[in-house]
Amino acid sequence: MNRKKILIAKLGLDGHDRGARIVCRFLRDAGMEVIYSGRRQTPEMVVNAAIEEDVDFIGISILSGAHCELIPLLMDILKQSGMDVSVVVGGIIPKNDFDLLYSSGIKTIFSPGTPLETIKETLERD
Amino acid sequence: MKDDLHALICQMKNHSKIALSRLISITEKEPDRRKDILSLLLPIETSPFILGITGPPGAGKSTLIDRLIHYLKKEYNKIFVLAIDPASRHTGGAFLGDRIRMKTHFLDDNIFIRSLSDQWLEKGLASIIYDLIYIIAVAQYDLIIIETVGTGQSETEISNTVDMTVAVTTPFHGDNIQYCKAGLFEVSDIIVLNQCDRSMPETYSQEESKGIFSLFQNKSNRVIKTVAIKNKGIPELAHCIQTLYEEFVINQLFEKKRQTRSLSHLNAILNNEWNIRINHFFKEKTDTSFIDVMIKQNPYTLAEEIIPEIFHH
Repeated sequence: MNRKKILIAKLGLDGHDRGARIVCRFLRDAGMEVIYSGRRQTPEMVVNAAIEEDVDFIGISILSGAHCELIPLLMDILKQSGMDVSVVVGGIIPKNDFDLLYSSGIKTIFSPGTPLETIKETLERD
Repeated sequence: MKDDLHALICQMKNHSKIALSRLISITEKEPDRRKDILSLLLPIETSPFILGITGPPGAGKSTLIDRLIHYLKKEYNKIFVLAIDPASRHTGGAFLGDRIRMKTHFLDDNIFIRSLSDQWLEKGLASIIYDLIYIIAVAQYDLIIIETVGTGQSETEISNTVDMTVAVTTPFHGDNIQYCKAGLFEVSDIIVLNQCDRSMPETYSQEESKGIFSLFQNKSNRVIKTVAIKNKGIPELAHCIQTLYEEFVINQLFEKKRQTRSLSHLNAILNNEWNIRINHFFKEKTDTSFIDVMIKQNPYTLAEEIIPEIFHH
């Protein structure tokens, strides 16, 4: 049985990881393989982990407001690595910043209040 | 579009992490291709040192590995860590939480960390571990660290797979009666007593700690106390591993271990084939008449009747 695999990580100086851990638990219970690589990751660390674990998705949790810097940087490093993986983003992302993030190549933004079921369905559909 | 195995193996030999990672995934997800993969890899010309780190959950294995790698890097060029965590018995999903303890090595080109869910390992250590060892060896890693949770069958099975077994425990995981029991500690080459900085339980005493390791009468030098998160005892552990490695070389033990490993590999493949047949058999026997017979009859007699049928499936 081929389960989907997701790497969940927090970029930059953002210590609030309760949301990320809740998503981890939910996706595990939904039958996925979840790797949580923790807080204070750099984009390079995330890409390297994604390569080594050969994940289907990267899920970034970011509540610090640094998403306009860090997400495009991540997508850039990901492109250069040659690794093919969908990136989804959750956390505090103002609607004004959606265009910038989507144009960097991410798949979906999950705003606060997104039901966990929706996250699961989005990943299963891919 | 199927991945081209030849191309992947070639890239992997040239140190491509993406290729190695892909090949590991194919081995996990496409069991029908394992035979082809091994055909392309054999004969293996390199012989990496395979170190098993096992022990009860929460003992500190992953943290210990993270600290230990800093010292082992001096002896080994490329290190691969295979971290195995349990899969949910209900959903099959898994939370693979070993990698998070090894952040200090995330950007090292010569270190590769891969998490593996133990859904593959239901009946002891399944054949996949042995397949991965071959792949990682061909990718030129000279040290492979396999981390497993030391419970159930995999607890002692690990010693048939690796060259050296290190069991990690804490003063809170048992008293000297516990350590008399067969299992993990009798198959281990080195015992690590981690988290030694925490205040000891009232029942713990110096006498207890001597009693705990009475199993190791002549090998008290193979019991190491550590506080992994503070890096205490880690240089001593690295030194102990290296010393023991040299002893193994002198006593020519590595050849014997390779033979044990090959035997276990074949055993695992045969067991897997057999289990697949048994599962097919049960899937087909859904009619109530079979269940009626099963409930009434002596199961040993019934099994004798069924075995030829399963064998010729």
